[in-house]
Amino acid sequence: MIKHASAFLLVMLTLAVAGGNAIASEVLWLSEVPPHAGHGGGEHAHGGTVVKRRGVYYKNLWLRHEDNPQQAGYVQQLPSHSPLLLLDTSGQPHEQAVQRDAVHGLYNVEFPMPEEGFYNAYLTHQRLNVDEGRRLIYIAKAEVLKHSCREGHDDVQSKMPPRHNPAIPLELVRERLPKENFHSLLSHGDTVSFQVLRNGEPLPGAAVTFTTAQGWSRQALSDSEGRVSYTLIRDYYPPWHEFEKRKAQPYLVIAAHTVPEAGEVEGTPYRQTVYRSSLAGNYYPSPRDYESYAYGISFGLFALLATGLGIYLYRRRRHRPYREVQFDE
Amino acid sequence: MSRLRTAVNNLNLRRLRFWLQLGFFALLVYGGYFAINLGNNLPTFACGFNQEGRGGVCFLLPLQHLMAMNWKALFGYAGIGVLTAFLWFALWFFVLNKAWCGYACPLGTIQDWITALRTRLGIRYARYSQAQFRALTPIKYVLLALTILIPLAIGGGLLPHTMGTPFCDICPGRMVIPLFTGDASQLTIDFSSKTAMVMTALGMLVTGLFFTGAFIKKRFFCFFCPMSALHYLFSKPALLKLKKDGDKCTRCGDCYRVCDMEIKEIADEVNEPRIMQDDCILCLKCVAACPEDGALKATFAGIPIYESTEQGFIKRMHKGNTSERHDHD
Repeated sequence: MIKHASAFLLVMLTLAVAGGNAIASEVLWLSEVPPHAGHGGGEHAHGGTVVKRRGVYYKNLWLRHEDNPQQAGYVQQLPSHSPLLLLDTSGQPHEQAVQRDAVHGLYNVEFPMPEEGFYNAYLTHQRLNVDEGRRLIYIAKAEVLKHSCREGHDDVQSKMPPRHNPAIPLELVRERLPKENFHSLLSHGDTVSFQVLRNGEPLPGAAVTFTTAQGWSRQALSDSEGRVSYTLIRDYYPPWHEFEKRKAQPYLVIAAHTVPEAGEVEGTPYRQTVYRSSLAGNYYPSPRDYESYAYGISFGLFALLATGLGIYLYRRRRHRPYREVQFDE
Repeated sequence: MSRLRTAVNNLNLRRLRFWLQLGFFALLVYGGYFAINLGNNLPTFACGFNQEGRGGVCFLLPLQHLMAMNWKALFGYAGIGVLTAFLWFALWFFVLNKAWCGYACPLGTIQDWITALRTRLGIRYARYSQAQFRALTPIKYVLLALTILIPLAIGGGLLPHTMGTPFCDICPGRMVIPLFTGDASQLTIDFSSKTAMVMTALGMLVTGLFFTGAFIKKRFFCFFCPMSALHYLFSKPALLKLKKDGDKCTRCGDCYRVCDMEIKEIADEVNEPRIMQDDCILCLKCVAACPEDGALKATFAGIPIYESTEQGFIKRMHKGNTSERHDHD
């Protein structure tokens, strides 16, 4: 706990106060989708795209703003280079420097994932809205799975429970589906639940907004346990010949919480503090959309009955009594 | 010692095999519920699609996954993983040789149960002619070659990823074995792509054919099993062996008549002591049915563990009025 708190404090201290338009809109989030095909490259793995070097998986996350998970822009200006706080699979905190890519100067961070399991990444940024007298604190969180089937599937369930960092002032935690494992995929029709935590404690009444790639959005307030749930809508309608059953459909969840914390930063006063926490993820087409029991069982029964009948008729023909054939000579 | 050897040689193999098959079935189909995991490289059809109950995974599933890796990885660092997996497969196989088919394979056991049902119903079984037998025998080698070459072509970008596990797509084990743990999710046609649709439809047709075939033909599917072909390629150094002393053989043909796989060489071959053929499942029914002392024997690391004796034959045939007669049904 103390270790986590000190790591968070370290992150906060490294932040410079960003005046004016550090980021264009009211959200900051971490995305695994590179801005251009040439960025990062990588290979597909359970948990998304990774780069493999000498057998170790590396994940690249990009900082984005705007609340549409598909069309959101990539952050080009972030006056402070705040380090990323990374909790590894055993919960140990690490710091990872945020960098700018050489081509477009976009902010991203890369970290190694040597162990199997979930890594939590947090990037915190604050700025002042002088006109409104508000301090805005953005907490961009990513939960990244590292899994290779070659590592085996022992003890998966012990690595599944979501972890949180009590030092984070506002955190979204995605709750697991029943029997979820490293191979499980969220699909439309599923109900996904998030818990909003304020310094590790459930926060009731927080406004949580869920947005899909096509722009469908729904806002709900967290309940007494800080929990909020959404049923994932179908958000992918390609022609059949273009359909991909592993098509990742991004979503973005944003929780907001305002508290009357007044103070000043470098001589500039503020009356209240607004926390905005984000968590992005993916869901996929539902097997119910492209798999058919009716056709499957019909095909199986057809083969069973056709071959069974064929064999029965063949045997019956062979059992017919001998009939003498007489030729009229 | 000689009393023990006599007792072993006189044992009721049919009953022993029934219980051993049942034990292996429970281990490989339900072992997962008891936290048993024998690994991913078993030389038998412990179906990987039996998600929760499996006590291990059939080697053909990881083999296809590994072969479908991109060539750079496959012929680079990941090649070590392929070799390691193969080494585990070889170690398991080294102990039991093709007895994995005759005693451990859950799909083989299911076929034996279907045969027992047919016997109870008093329906006669079918046999192949020698010409049919010779024509069918190479099919398993063709399937083995395709099981390796198709994923390899996928890794090279020559075929679509939707064909990643081509043999599992058409293996009846994928559909049938999970049913024993209440999982019917494999009985579907996948319409997500043309390839998936064709392969899953083929799989359901093969499943229907499997039930008819197994009902009228003992060990119907084993003639076409690529795992059996893979076994035979590595069976020579294995510890468990079937041997024949041609000088003691009277060519009575009992061994051929009880052979589920209709291997004629077991009766005809009198010159080669290593009598095991590629279709053999090492069930040892031939040894139990042989009336000549020492004509047929099973050895483990060169030590005879079960051999044909006149006394054993008479004892089994005497009991056979009630228990062994089904061998000829």
